[in-house]
Amino acid sequence: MAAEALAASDSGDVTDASITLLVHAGIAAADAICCTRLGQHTQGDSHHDAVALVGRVDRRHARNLQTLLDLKTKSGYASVPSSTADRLRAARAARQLVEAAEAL
Amino acid sequence: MSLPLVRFTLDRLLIAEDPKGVADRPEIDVGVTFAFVECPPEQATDDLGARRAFLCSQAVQQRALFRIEIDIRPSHTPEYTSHEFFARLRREFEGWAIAPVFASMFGSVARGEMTSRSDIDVLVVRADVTDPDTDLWRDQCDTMAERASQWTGNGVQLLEAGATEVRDAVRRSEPVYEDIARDGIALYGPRNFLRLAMRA
Repeated sequence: MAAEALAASDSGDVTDASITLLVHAGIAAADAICCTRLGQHTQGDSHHDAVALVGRVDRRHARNLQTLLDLKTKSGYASVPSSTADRLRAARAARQLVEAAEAL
Repeated sequence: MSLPLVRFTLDRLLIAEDPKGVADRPEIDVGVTFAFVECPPEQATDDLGARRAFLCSQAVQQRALFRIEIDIRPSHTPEYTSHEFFARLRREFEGWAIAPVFASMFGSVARGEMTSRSDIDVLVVRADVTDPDTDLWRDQCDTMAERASQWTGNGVQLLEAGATEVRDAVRRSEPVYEDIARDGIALYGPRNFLRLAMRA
């Protein structure tokens, strides 16, 4: 799922939809990392818990997930589409998480 | 009777809690939305949630072990109740090597409606020349969020954007920035940063 969402995000001028997909990709990848390395993943909707848990594996994973969640927050607040710079930031963070999950 | 107050210095043992959990204490009046609870470190557990639950149950069930320090204020003066928390955050931002242009608390905390389940909303505006993905900038943001969570037990939602981006959004009358201009509690930079952007 994480790789599919990452691939689907790379299309057209639909920045907010892309960021949403990238966030989903990052969350799925973080869950995969936590399941594989820790034998558990977060069940609730607490962003803080999810970031803290994946941070037990690698602080860089926590940072990437936090970046994605911050961009999701930002995207949700604005009435205009997110910037290309934000989409690129989201893409970079999601890609690093997905690649880390795939490397497990 | 004056209860003993057991003080300790570890920041992570300073707990913020929904005052409704201790609302049966007669000295607590309506309008309390934020409470700092102190306890002896030997009574704390490693898990923040369990520690908070323990503290609340103790606070409700008995008053002998420790005294609870609670700021009581009417709901329209949020700065008073949470002043210690905001002071800590202000000191945090003042120590940043890459200074933000502006930072503000907003959302339920700023409106005085925080509960134990509320996220803490923080706006951080960086200078346009600051790369948001540099390690130092990310470290600062992450550390601030982690500490705010440790101090309160609540998660932090960070709204982080560049200065020009924010000014443009303000001029478009983005609701979130109008809310922050109205209810936000400035933590760093000119308090009227958003209002100045509205007039520009």
